[in-house]
Amino acid sequence: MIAEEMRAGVPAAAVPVGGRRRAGALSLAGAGLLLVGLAVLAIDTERFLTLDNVRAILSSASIVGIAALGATAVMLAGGQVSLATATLASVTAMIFLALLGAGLVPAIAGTLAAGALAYAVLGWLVGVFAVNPIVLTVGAGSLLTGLTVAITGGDQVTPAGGGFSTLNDRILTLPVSVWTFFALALVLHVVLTRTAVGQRISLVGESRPTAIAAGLPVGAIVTGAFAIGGALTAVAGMFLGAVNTNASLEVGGNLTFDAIAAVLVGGTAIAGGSGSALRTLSGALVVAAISDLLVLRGYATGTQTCIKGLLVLLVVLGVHLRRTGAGR
Amino acid sequence: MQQGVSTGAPRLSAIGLRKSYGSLLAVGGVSLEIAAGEIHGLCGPNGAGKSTIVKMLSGQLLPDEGSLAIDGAEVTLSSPQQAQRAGIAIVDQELSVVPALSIRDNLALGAAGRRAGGADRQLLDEVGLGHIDLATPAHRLTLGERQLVEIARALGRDARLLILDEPTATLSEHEIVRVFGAVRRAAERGHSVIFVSHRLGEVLDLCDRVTVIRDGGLVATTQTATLDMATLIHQMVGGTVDVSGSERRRIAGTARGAAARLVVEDLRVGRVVSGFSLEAEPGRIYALAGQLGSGAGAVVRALGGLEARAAGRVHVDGRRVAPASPTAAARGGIAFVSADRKAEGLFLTKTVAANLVATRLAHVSRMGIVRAAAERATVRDLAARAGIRPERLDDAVGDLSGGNQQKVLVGRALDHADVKVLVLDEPTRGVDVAGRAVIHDLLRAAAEDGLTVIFASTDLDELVGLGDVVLTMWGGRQVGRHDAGVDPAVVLADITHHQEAAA
Repeated sequence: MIAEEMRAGVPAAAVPVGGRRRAGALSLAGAGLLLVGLAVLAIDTERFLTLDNVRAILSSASIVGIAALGATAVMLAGGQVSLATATLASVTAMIFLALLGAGLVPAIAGTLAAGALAYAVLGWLVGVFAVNPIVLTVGAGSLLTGLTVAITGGDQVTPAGGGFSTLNDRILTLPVSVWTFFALALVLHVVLTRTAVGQRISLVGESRPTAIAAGLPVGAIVTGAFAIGGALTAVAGMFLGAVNTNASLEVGGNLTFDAIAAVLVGGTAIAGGSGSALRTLSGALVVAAISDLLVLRGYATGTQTCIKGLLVLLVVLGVHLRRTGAGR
Repeated sequence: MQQGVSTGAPRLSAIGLRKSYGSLLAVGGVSLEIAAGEIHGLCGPNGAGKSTIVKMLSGQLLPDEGSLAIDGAEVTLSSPQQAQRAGIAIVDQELSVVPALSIRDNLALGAAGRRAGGADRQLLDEVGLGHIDLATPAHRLTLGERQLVEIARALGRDARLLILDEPTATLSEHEIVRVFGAVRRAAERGHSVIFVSHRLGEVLDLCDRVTVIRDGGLVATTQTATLDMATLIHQMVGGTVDVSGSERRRIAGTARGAAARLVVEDLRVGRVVSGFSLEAEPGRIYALAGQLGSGAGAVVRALGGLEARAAGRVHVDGRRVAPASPTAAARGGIAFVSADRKAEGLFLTKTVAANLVATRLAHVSRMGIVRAAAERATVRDLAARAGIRPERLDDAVGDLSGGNQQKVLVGRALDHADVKVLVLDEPTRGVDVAGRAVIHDLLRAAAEDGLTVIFASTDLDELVGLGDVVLTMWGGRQVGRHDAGVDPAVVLADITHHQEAAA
């Protein structure tokens, strides 16, 4: 009320001096504090600032990070979160290993197509029929799991060819997965900010009713965003399969929640519309660095998980305050 | 004059009211005097400080400086309860009638102790709801009737000063007539009324005197008997804006006699619209007049593709446009502007520029990549046409005033190279006088550029002032067709369907 009145009798220039900016400054200060705390801890922790350790952090950030990029595309389109990430990653890992008999490139292409197609169907349902994405992806995850068990009989899939080792190579001391993560983050960033498709995704995520009334092809846009998300999840799946040299439904592990955590810590809004691939990149790196720090300082697994959870809560709160503007 | 006080002191005397928020001055020394039994208009453009004054008078805000006296006795209003005890009641747009409760219970809400049943009956009579049973649950009432119940409640509290804050914003013309009747009767019995409104015709019609404020300061208090619309508008906008747009003599459609651009045959929307047909020419503005529920709003929404139950045939330049699909409408050359700016019009957290270009991304892209220069050029061109200042292009559109938001929305619809028909629902809802004139000029210019413009509105001045052709609707059907310059009374009679109802 007061903010609205402040806007009343005054020149336009004074308008933004509202809760939004204050909350923005607050969350910025929070982020700064967090980084300073991290830096202090990092300097204080033995072996943290070694090349080997940095390499370890980047490696552990990479696969989660790639899946998180997929989750970013879904979230930006207003698809909230996909709870099928781990399942799809596991399934695409199995598909990848099974297809390797035909050579590396066909295997990669086939796996990408499978991931994109699976998610495109979900995106179509969300985009055209406004199905709740959380309920839908839980259901789709179960369906995918059931299908996989029926086909494989629950057995592990082993590589049908040797091409996977290329994915485990190192280039300039860093694993291929790290370079891939960086490259994909950059590509997704460009797609989201510089292409018509990317801008439409963020418009639909901002307000679905507005996009519909404006005549934007909402169904196609959401389908596209999910397809991008599925393809990226498939990339994560391929690396999982390659690293483990075999794949079962368990290979995805905690990928679903780790990916969501990375996206949220990066500051992409869960309600859609605002966020970026570069934010997710930094989110994944921060989460990985903190995990690493906690391991090096000898905290128990329970403590590590608690701290990660707390971090996600704080960042989500910060992003929320920034969007709504405290006290408005 | 049951409760008039014979001292001759004014009912309300406010002297030197002043209120700042932090360093921002919202109201800077406004004085106001209102006599017993007077209906007093309070006008000003958006952001002039009207609501701050209303809040100070109703105990929601304490003034920084200045004094208030009711019937000669000085009062300090530091809470709404104190204002109520001092005899001040406020009725605003946020209806506080509880839908689930009966009218009787609603009248009793907030009252100290029970009144006799006869008193409630009499209150309803006073506001012209004598025919309605006290046991009727409020959700069965129309918006206007609920507003009347609120007024009755305020009168029941023996309000000596009744503040009506934009009471007619959501009402149909027919309901407004009833509310005004109730207000006049209350004034005749000695209640004083402050009437805050954007609708200047109503203010001139209803009020004894009108006070205009601008930028937090008093411009003038004038007897309405000596005031005409042009002077009132001049007082409000300070003569800086060309407000003659809607009154300006229209040039006949530039492409008169040309083949009809938009042909609508037997458009039906559930039970709301039962068979609407229209052949609309380029270069002309078609005004759809009708109350809530008349089907006028549903027709324009259906043309925009937003009514899922729409059926019938729509052709633009001879090409069929599939019903019930907003994308089909957009592809067919129909641009739609919703009445609900915030929920269905704008991407509120995005910038003005992003909103302007939202529907043109394909046009400014090559191989899917948005070309920054083309995007910027389009945005600047649209902003210039819509009268949006370039320095605001990077502001979040949600931070703009209602009038400027509407400019962005209309601007966005204006310029697809392929837009042929512009369809608007309530094009100036919640827009102040100056902004309204600008929007009307924009639509006029769009028509002169050869677009076919169709809008639905419940605002008589707008319908008659802007439309080249006024189509009146009632009960889901078109009941009349009038050319520009039609007497508003005729339109009002059509949309309230007086003749047929009486026959």
